[in-house]
Amino acid sequence: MKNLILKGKTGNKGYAEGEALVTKDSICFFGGINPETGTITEIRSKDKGKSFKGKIFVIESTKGSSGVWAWLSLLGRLGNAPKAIVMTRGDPLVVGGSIDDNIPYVFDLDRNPTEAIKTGDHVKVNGNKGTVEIISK
Amino acid sequence: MYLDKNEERMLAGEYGREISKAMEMLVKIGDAFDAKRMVNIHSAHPYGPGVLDWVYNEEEQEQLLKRAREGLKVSAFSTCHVGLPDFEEREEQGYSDEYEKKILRLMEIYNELGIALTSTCAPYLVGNVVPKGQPIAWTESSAWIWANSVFGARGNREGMGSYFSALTGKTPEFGMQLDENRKATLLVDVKASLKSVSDFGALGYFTGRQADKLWEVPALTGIKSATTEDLKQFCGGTSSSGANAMFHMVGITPEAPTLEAAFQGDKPKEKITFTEEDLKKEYELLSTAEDDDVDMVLLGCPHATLKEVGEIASMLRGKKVHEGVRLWVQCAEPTKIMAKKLGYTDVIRKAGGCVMCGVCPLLGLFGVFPWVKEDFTLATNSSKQSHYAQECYGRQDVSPGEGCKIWFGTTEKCISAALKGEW
Repeated sequence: MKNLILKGKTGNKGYAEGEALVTKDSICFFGGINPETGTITEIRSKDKGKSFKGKIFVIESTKGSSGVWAWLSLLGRLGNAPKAIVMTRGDPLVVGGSIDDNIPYVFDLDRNPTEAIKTGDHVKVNGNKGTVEIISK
Repeated sequence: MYLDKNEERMLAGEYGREISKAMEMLVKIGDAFDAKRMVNIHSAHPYGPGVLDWVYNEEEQEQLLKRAREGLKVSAFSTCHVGLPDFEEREEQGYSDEYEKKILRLMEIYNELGIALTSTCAPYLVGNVVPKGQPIAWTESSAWIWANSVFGARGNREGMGSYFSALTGKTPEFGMQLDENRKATLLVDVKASLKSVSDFGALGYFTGRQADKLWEVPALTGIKSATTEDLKQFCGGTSSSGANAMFHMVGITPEAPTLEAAFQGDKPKEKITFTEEDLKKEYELLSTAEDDDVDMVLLGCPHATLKEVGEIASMLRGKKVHEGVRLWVQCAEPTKIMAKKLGYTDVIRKAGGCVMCGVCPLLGLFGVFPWVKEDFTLATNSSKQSHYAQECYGRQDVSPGEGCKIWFGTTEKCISAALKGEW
């Protein structure tokens, strides 16, 4: 089977590959994550407690606080950032935070990434091209 | 994106490396959203000065202070977000000498740069007032929602970008700057009767939950009137649970004289109703406490208006807050100065409460109030405060937020809890 390639836009350049953590919930990086552990703490999220540290974090949407930028930046400084961020739509705060963390960020893909990608999939994120490649199992 | 000659010079470093770095970041953000050009901003509202400690090391901070003293200034009117303790109320807070020394130094940098040390989540109450249609670059989700929705100003979700916009006076033109992204995408028809600021906060929280995907713009119908305080609580609520950078209230906010105007001529695809039952459910969602004992009562999130501080003082006149209960009324410093002149702060202090300026318990995460990281029960009239308390306060070694229990209710109910020590 051929690998599926999603095409979208560049939020931040760079390349990363790894295991995906997919959440269909909206997450705020301020309050909705624990920067000390790199886990989701968003109240009412079905994925509360799951770790995105060192993974390709695929998120339906960010929301809430302006602290999204600062906390994403903090995650990087604490060594708990994801390897890349893939989102349905673009958040200017995630653009800024991913630049600080030097991780690729892509969004506005031709398919909803939270449906096309499953948790545990091996994916390659090319921020330069704005693509996400899902490696066929 | 297109840059004019002056913007090119900023990027090239002709105005120094701070301006160059700021312009570089704004161009990157603009490029990500296909912005065609930069626009001049009316005002910026960057993070509090503590954030300088994240961006620059000590040597760079010294350099920045020197550069600011030599003439590096912000290019747009700038207020700043919450980030300072209330220096008059040291014993209420518990911050260290080391923290005070550091924050005073960072405050000096902001001051020299020309950023007003407002330390508030509600700059729109203390002089940052924007005419309709003007571009802004403000942090604080409840504030940019106010600016977009109530003022009809134009601003995107901002973090450090607001500081870079303050320095350059520019923001890339995309998103909420453009008419097409200000069009309502969903409709909430309010059937419930709204009787208090906390009812508006609960409605805001409900609305945010319907609009928790980026670039949604909810429109609301069925609201007959709303006070400044009602709108402030609505903004706080919707900014906590939602991803929307603005909302329309038909007949109330400036871009929604009619439902058709809010949807820019289109018909709403779906209508969500907000009933009395929904209002009740929202209160349940925002109250997590079971034990009636209350340790802290927090009012003024977002920061209180002078009118609110006066109303709270009237409720507390001649009464006594229950022993062991911490009662805070938060506001911006100019509001506290006026409240002092009117005698409100004295009345509240005599009752055993405290008017705190410039603060938010969330500063506890930065070591300003160490007790925020202990378990306690909080009563508040703010849906925003309830949301973040549920995620952030209490012991941090388990799961942050779980150690803090919350009662959410009207201002009157909160005052009564402060006096009785129980909900």
